[in-house]
Amino acid sequence: MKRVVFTLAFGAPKYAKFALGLGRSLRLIGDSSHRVVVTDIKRDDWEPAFDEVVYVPRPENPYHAKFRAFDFFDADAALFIDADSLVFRRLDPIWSEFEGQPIAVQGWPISHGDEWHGDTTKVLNQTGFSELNQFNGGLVYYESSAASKKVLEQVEHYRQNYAETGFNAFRGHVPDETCLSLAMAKTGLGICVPDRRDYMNTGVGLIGDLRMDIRRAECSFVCRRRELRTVHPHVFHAHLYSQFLVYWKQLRALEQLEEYERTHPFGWMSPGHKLRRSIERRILKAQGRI
Amino acid sequence: MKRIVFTIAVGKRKFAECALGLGRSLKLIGDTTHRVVLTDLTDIEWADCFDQVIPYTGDISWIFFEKLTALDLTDADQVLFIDSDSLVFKRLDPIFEAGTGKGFCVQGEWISTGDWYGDVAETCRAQGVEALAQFNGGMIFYERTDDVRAFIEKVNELGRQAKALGFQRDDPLVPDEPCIGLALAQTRFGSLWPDNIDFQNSATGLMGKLQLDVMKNRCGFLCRRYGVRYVEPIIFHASRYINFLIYWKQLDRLEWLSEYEKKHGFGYMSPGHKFKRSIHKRLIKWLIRP
Repeated sequence: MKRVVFTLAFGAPKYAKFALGLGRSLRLIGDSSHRVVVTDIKRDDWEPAFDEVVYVPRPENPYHAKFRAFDFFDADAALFIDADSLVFRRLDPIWSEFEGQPIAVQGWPISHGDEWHGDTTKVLNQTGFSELNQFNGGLVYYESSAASKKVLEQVEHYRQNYAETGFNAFRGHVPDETCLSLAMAKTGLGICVPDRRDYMNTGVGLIGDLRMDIRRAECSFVCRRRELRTVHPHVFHAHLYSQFLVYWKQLRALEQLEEYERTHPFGWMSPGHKLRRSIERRILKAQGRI
Repeated sequence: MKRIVFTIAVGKRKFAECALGLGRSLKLIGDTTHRVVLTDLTDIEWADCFDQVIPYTGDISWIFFEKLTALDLTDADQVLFIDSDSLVFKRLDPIFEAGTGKGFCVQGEWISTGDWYGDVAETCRAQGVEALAQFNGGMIFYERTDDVRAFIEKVNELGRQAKALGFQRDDPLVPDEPCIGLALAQTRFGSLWPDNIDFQNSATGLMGKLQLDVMKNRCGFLCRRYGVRYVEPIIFHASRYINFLIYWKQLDRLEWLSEYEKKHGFGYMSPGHKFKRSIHKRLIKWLIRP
């Protein structure tokens, strides 16, 4: 099965920086998924962060471009990750759990009385569903199969008839998340794995420090979402945190590490490190240990 | 199926200290694999952390090839050879599982250029192979099958021709790594696990700090090898870090823990800890539950 992890970067240069951060973070932790960026931003440094760059004009509705993976590249399964994300743990458990599903996201069920892009009660009354799944569209898996196609066709149907759903628009656009949630309810296809899987987290509801250090593959925090929990996500979707220095510090560190790789050969040892070894070897010899 | 961890401690006493560190690190993390040591150092308390001790009486120049003798010396079905100057931070099950059915496995990358026991391109040309399997011989997995026995014989054959093949070290020892690398290339038998599988890492090309702490079961670092990567290996092969104090500090801690286990019974609580409990108990009574 050909698996591709892909992201989108359209418009302003900052989106390219975000996407590069995502690709570099995947590479840094040794994730071996094939990485593709779909973009309209010409740069000469997409590689080695990405294995493949697909240049396409900016789509009319960029939120829904995440569902068009197989228009952009060949694959059996695609995992979309929002560009403003950093990956701290390898994606293998996500691939393993989602394999065989037409479409998969991470979230929780919502019903009458909940709020998500508007009043859920109104949506459920208008659409006739008893419940929907709420999730963040920053991580979406789907396959190249008839069942996936059926769900995605339904997504497109809801996009075109959004006014009838009862959901609100988002920043003047039709959001992808609500359309997908409705499509999953309509077709009965796909899964929404529990939020506790921690495949992705946005840090929404953060309490205290956001402990994030790309150089130590460390990302953990306490947050109050549906419940109060400590989270160690595979994918940290910066989302609100793209406006915090801590996220940009990680992007800078990733850029510096890539530069280091370019300028240093395999196994390079710094003069300071060599000096330390020399001193410590003498100490160990004096101690009679080596 | 009988699985063993196999190591060698021959010659200087420091190798026994290293091997004890390996055995103790395995014991500390609760790994249950049968541990076997091949050694000529008979005055060591091996029983502390090894299940079986096999006396060594061979030719020292051939010592590296003794790694492949466990099928003759034991009744194991699967063997994981680990260099004595290694510390293990995670249980070994994933390595055995990854190797099952593959016959013979090492971790590394195919190379066709560069310098590795001589000019790689020249060796490839002379031996009629496209690439050599470059790996670190600090970890080798093999199984009890006729094909593996034939493969090991092939490796031994190449070892006997090592000088003629140009595979030499600075010392009189015959190197096993290029012989295995060439045998893998010639026979296409076995499996070369990619370097990013992170079963083992020697921190070659370390960047910044080596985070190594057996008490916290922590081993993580950035290094520049085939690329810049953050690594948290199952096995840390000290290799050149045998000349650094940090490695010997871990050995000291492991020895201390071993002594502690001998001197203290199940669930022992130190007087200091009891005193702290007593104070906290009073604080809780006064402040929290008045």
